[in-house]
Amino acid sequence: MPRPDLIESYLTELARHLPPSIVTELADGFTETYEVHLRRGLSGEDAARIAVAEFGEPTTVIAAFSQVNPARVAARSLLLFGPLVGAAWAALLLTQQAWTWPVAAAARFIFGAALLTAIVLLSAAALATRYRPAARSAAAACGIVVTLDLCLLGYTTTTGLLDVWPAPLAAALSITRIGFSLKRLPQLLTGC
Amino acid sequence: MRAETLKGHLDGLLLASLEDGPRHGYSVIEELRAVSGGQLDLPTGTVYPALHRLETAGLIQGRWSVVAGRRRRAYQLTAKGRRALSKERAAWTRFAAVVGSVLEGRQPCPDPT
Repeated sequence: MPRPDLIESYLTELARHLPPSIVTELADGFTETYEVHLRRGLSGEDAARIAVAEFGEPTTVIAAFSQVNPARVAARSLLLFGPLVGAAWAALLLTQQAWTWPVAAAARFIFGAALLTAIVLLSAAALATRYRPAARSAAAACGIVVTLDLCLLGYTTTTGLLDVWPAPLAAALSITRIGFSLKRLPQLLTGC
Repeated sequence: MRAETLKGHLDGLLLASLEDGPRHGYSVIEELRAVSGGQLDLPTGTVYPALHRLETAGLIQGRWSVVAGRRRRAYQLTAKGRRALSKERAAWTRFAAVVGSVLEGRQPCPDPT
C-alpha cells in the first residue's frame, strides 16, 4: 500500500537528518499506524494526518534521536578512557626516554597531530546535536585511535619493549580500546 | 497521561512491554495503550528514540525482519534488561508505598532495608 504524500514528506524530512536504518524503522511504524487508522474506518487523508500527529513534530523526533545517538555515547566513553591509556603509555615513554628513540621527527609529528585530531573529533561527536555529523566524527576518531594504538603496540613489540613495565599495562589498555572501537565502528558507520 | 508525567518511568514501561516477547515500536505503543486502558498514549516519535537508547545501554536487542514486504525492527529484552526491569519494579513498589502512605495518611510502610 503506497504511503500518502503527507507521510512521505515527513519521512523525507527525517531522512535529511537521520540515517537510513532509522528512517526505515520509522517508515514501518508510520505505515502500521496509518493502516490501523484506515482499518478503524478513517479516510486516507485523516489516517495520514492522525499518524503524523501521533509521531509528533519532525524536529522533536530528530532531536530525540540525536540525544540518544550511540556516537555520542561512544565518543564520551573514549574521552573518559583516553587519559588512562595515555597515562600508561606516557609513563613508558618517560621511563624509557622515548626522545632518544630512533624515530623520525616527521613520524613523531604525524603521531601527535593524529592524536590531537582524534581528541578534537571525539569532543565534537560528544557535544554534537546533529546525528550524522556526530556519527561521522566518532567513526573517524575510532579509526584514528585504532591506528595509533596499533602503531604503539607494533613499535613496542618489534623493539622488545613489551616486557618493560608499564608496557604490559599500556598494551592491555590499548587492546581493550581497540576492541571497544572496532565493536562500535559498524554501528557508527551505519549512522553516517 | 502526558509524557512529562511519565518522566523517569518510561524505561521501565518500555521494558515491561517487552517482557512477554519481541515487539516492534508501534506494537510497544499499542501494548502500553491496551494494558493501561488507553491512559498511556505516548507520542510515537519519542518511543522509538527511547528504544534505541535502551538498545545502546544493552537492555534490549533489536533484530530486523521482513513483514508484509516491509523491513521491520523488533526488540526483545536481554538478560541485563530483565534484571533492570526487576529492579525498576521493586523501586516502583517501594516508591508507590511510601508516597501512598504520605498522601493518604496511612501508617508508614516498613523500610525494607
